[in-house]
Amino acid sequence: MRYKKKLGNIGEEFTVKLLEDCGYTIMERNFWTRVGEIDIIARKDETLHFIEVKTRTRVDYGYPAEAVTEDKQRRMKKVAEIYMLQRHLNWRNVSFDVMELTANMIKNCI
Amino acid sequence: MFSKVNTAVCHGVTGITVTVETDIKSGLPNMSIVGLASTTVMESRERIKSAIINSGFDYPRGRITVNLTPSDLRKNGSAMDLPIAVGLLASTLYADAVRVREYGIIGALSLDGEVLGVDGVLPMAIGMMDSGIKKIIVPWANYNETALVNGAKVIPVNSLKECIERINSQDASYADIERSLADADIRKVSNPKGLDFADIKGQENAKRAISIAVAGRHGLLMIGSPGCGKTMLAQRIPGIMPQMSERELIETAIVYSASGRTNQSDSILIDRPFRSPHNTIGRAGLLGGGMYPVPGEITLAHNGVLFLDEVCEFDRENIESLRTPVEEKYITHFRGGEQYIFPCNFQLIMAANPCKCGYYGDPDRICKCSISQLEQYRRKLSGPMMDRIDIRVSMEKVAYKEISGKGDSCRSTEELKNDVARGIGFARSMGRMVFNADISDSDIRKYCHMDNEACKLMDGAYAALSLSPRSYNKILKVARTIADMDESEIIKKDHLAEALSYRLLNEINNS
Repeated sequence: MRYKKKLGNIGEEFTVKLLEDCGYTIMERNFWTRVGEIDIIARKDETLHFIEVKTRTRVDYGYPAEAVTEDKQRRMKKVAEIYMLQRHLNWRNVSFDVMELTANMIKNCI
Repeated sequence: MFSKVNTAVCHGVTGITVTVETDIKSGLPNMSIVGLASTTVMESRERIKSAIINSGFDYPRGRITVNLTPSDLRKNGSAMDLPIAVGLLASTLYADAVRVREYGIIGALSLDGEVLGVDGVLPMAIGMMDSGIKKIIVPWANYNETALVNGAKVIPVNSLKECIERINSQDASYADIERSLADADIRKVSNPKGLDFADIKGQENAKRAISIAVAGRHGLLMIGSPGCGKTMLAQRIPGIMPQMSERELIETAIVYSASGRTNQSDSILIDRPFRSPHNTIGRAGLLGGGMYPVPGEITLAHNGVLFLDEVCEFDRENIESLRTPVEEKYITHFRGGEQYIFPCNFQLIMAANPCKCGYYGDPDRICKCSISQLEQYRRKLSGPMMDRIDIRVSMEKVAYKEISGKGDSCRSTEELKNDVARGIGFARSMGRMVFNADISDSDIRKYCHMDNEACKLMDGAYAALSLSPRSYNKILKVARTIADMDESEIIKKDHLAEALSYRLLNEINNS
């Protein structure tokens, strides 16, 4: 479990750096509700992005993005609604994104 | 990232060309198939994914949309596995997206990328030829039946990988050969089981009746006690029918291909089909049916013989339901707002026992049936369906002398076949292109002329047997067939007398 969590954190850190480099503003990280969690909430221009980060070391069991099932997508939508209600946000353009990471030199990091 | 691939679906017994459009956009990995696809087609997603990966290609990542046009046509069957897989590979540029449009592709996939045979390749290939697609890729298992698609360039493939190589290859030599009936692996010998009418001793009157029935395509009913040879006679009937024409051969092969009965080792059927459904058969089995309708026994007997043994044991409703198809020579099914037309032009032969126990009228054994049982049984033999039977023949038990005899007077398939051919040949030479049983009422006057003696006989018989106008017409038609076999332009007294004798059984029963 610890290994998985660490791997996830590394992926998220990497993603945040990448997004900031691309001009995104990070608004929230690991937004947690009873329904589920969203890894990163960021915005760029007029669009609000809800981002799920998937990090994997091997692709034998399918690519990371394939692990975002329909159920997970539904839950993300729900969580996004809660977030926007809580923060009184009323954005027109909302986007749900998946950041797919494949790590190959993982040993040195953990 | 867009491609178009041609394929076809088998809609009843007709092939309809379908275009598989594949589009790959970036997005979460997902594949959706639209265009009224059945569960079988939807499941092809899993087969295609495995087959592509196991063939050594990369499975495209992204949002894949597959559209099957015409999108209002219901599609069923696994024959769309291969075209959808090729569509995906053409979208990802493994296959030449321009060249692929010249081909029509049919085939099912196994998980390891092998191309498996499917049902209905023949109608599908013909459908694609009609819409101008000349190069057709089929599974090896179905290569033989495509010989009936005249002028098509057929490329048989074993695997998905081979299929892609064929499409990409500049060298087109493999597709140069146009298919024609000549190179079909047709069973040249007809009558493979060696059935011959000479196997049946005695029953010469029944054999005569059969040859008349076949020559005019009249419905025939044989009535006789158990074991007198009704079934044996019926099984030999396809042997005396004239050889199938090329058109008939293709029509029959289409039906067998569509219903998945093309046995590859057995190659293409050259004999006329002989179908003898069991009497417990349901209506769907007899007439065809199902959610995606498949041909029933009457359609499988197209251009051949439909033999209903123990016809009195069939559900009466099932027998009655044959009335329209017998007249129309096709049957129409409606499913989900779509029309399916199956041909069913067959020679109808029925057999029955004279009563429930089977020994009514037997000189040696006593019939154990009660009067009410007899009446009930008889009722099944009359009615509107029986009215469509032109020839009825009663069969006696064969005497020992006839069985043990050398069989000098025993007529063989060869002789009967000649009789039939003579009858049909004469009718055609007189300008009658339909079988005598199908002569329209208005044409009867034109074709069925009787001489004076015959007229006199008919005059007496009409009153004495209390014939109806309909039976009068039927008798004339049978007499016409008998005269044809005699190569006589005019119906003579003998011809009419024989025709009347085949009617007697019923008229007496009804009175």
